[in-house]
Formats: sequence, C-alpha cells, structure tokens
Amino acid sequence: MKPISTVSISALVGLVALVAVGCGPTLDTPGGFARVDGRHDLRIASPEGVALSVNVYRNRRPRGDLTFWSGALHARLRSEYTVVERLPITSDSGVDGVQIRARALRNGRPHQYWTAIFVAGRNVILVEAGGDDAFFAPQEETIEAAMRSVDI
Amino acid sequence: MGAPPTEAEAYMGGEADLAVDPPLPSGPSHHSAQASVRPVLEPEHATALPIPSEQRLRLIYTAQLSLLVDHDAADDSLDRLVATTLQFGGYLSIREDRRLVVRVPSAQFHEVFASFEQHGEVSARNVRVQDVSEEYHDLEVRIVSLTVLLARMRGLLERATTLDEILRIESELGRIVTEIDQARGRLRFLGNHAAWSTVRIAITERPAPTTPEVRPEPSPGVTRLPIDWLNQNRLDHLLNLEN
Repeated sequence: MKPISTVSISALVGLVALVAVGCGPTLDTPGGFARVDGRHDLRIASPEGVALSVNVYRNRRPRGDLTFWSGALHARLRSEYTVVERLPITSDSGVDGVQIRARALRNGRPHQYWTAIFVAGRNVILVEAGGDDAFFAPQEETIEAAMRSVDI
Repeated sequence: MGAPPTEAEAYMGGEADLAVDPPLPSGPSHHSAQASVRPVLEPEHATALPIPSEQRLRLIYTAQLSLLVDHDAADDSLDRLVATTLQFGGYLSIREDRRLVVRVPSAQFHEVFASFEQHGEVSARNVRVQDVSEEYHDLEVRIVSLTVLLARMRGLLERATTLDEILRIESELGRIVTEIDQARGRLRFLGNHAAWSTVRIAITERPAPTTPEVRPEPSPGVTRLPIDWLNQNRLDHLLNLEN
C-alpha cells in the first residue's frame, strides 16, 4: 500500500479547515469590507481596521440557554469594558439573540465593541464587531445589519 | 596674715567690691542656675569683667537637616519650621525656595532639632559640635591677668618721677589696654556663637503620586466561569487581523 505523504496530510487538513469554515455560519460582507478570515473564525474588515467576526462554540459543559450565555458574556464584558447597552437582536434568519454594546480604550483611543450572542441547537454563536470609534461610528448601521445577517 | 591682699588676691575674692554677673543667655552649664559672684577692680571694666568659669561648657552647634515632605507641601513645611523656630526663641536667618537657615538658642538645641525632625521624613542629618570652653576659659583668665597688670601699671604711673619712666609706663599701658580689648572682643564672639546654634534645613518634595489606571472591576460576587473562549480579551483578538 502506498504511504500517505506529508503533502497529502497537509492538503487534507487544509481541506477539512476550508470545509469547516465554509460550512459554519457566515456574515454578509458589506460594501467596503473584505474577508480576512482568521485561523479559526470568519472575519471581515474595513480598510481602517473595523472588524467583524463570527465564532461557533459547542453548547456543552456548561450547557445553557440564551439567558445563561448572554448573562455570562455580559458579566465577562463588564469586567473589562464599559458596557453601554444590552439589547435584544434577531438574526435575519429569525433566531433571537442578545446584543451587548461596550466601549473600551485601546492604545489610548476610544473603541467600540459590539457582541451578539445566539444559541441554536448544540451551538453558541458569537458575532463580534469592533474598531476605533472614529471609523466605527459612521458605519454603525452597516455593522448592525452585518451582525443580523449571520446565517445560523 | 595681717597684710592687705594683693590686687590679684582681691580680684579672686579678697576684700574687693562684689558684683553679680548676669546669667548667660544660653549654653549647657553645670552652674547655669547660679549667679556667679565677682569682684570689681577697675571701674571702667567693671561691667565687663567675667569671672573665669570653672566647668562651664561653651558649645557651638552647627547642624544640617534634610527633610522629605509630601508632594506640593514644601511651602507649608517651611512655614511650620519657621514657626517652630520662633516658638523656641530662635530667628530666621535665610529662607529660600527649598532651604532654611535658622538660629536657635543653644540651650534648647536638642529640643528644637528634635521638633524640626517631626516636620518630615529625615533623609539626612548632620550635627557638629565645637567645644570652645577651653579657649573661652583661657580668655577669661587672660583678661583677669591683664586687668590686674593694668591696675599695677597705673599705680606705678602715679609713682613715676622721670619723664622716661612715664613714657615707658604709658606705652605699656596702651599695649595692655589693646590686649584686653582684643580678648574681650574674642570672648564676646565666642559667647554669641555658643549662645546660638545654626541649623540649615533642606526640603525635598516627594514626587507627585501617580494615578492608578482605572479599570472596571467585576461586579461584587461575580466569578469568572471556566470557559476559555469567554475569558479571552476578545476585542484585542478581534482587531488583531494577523490571527
């Protein structure tokens, strides 16, 4: 039997990763933004560095509902950022979630940091958006729409 | 034994008139509470003649003190130091931006200095003491001797018969008077210096306290859940587009 080469293994891993990203939730990419996917998440960014990402985590150990996860996220954010608002949000696909808007200083500059959390089946979906306030604020509506566009 | 006392014997307590020496203004002394008694020989020197002080200490204190005070408190500290100086009967000699030179009564030097040390954190202190007791005593004795000699020469002058004798005695009288004046001047100088001690005080302010970085604290009673992805600094992670 022919041994599997190192190149073949790398190609396989890459393919699996591509499928994993491709199969996960996606976001609409607003005009002026581009995909800059990270190693483990889907990410899009503007030229000025305003970024959005979506991550999926398994809802187990602990397994919680939206109230639990949004509360845990809120408590965590409050320990590091200034939480401004906590709002209900519904994805374009009809899944209810919670959006938490926070502010932070980063490198001495005011930044905005918005998160939206959804619970669907065995997954917890976290959508994030952040950037320097000077670039984030003019695009708030666009960013809000992109966060709701998450395809769960 | 029936002979009249000599002039020197009279000065040292024989049959001469007595005068009370006023207590000196300062200086630790074994006899500070007692008025000394001395005879008077020469009317023109009567008020200035000191009795040779036996064990009296004449100490000149010179001290330096460096104090560390709180930020922006130097002026207040200097004001308080001046007030303390005045309270102990001292006086201000020099006041600069961060420096004081004060003179305080030597008799209260240790008490005043200890009080100064309460006005800040002592970063350095230096006290020097110069004992001039021996020089002071020698001067007193010399003045007594010269005064006795002066009286004797005046007696001789009255009995002089030739012009040559008169001229020689008057020349000697002039030298003796000059020596007495010099010794008295030096005695006054030492007395003044021993009566007052000099304290130089330097003030240094601590640096302004740095304002601690204000970070939001977790609400009371909230404990982080052991969920790795939740505990990351998510904003930094999100905006690090090289991940």
